[in-house]
Amino acid sequence: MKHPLTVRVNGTTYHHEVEPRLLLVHYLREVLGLTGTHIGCDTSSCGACTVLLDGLAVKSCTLLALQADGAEIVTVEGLARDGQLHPIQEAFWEEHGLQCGFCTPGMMLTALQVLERHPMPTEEQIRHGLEGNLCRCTGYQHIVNAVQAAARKLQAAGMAPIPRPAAAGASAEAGKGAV
Amino acid sequence: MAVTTLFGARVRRREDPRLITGRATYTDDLRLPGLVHAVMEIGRAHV
Repeated sequence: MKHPLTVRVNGTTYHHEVEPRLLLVHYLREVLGLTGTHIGCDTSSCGACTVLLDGLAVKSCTLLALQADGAEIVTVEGLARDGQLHPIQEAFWEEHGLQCGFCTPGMMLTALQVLERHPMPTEEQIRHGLEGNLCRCTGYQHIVNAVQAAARKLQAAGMAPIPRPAAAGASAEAGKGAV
Repeated sequence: MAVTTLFGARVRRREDPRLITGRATYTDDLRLPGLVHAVMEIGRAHV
């Protein structure tokens, strides 16, 4: 039996009827077609599926879609605005924070949580904050450099790390439901 | 541009924009008509 689900993803409100067993990552990829969120391990070890749920980095392979009912979600597709890359994206590009790019969406979104907590993080704070995200290319040093570069960019721009979608008219209706 | 100007220069990778915006297509993102499940077979790894 399907249940109603209302979520706001990258500023757009969606209503769907979903099976209770549907994972959030499958909802994002299969139902919404947002394949930028990757499935690496399916066991919440690798962090490739990380998305921001109400501002917290969560592993979407370990959450049911219905648990996100009423939530505000940001995926990698929601970082760039009007063709303008988010500072975290620019920093990963400039600092060579990626090789194959598979871990990158989850890595960037988790990094935003780190930057939200520590606007100018130390290397240790970055490494601790990104512990749950694995990079099989093993490019960790460049990832750390990228997060530090992003911190400087955000500070220079006076920007909050986590993008808050413009308050569209649909925001009120997305507020119902509980996680 | 002379090749020598690239030495020591910061060069941004051309493939990165699609990788950092979630627009890259990995094997798991492929959707073929009528596809239910796909398996990748590799004859042999490098020798």
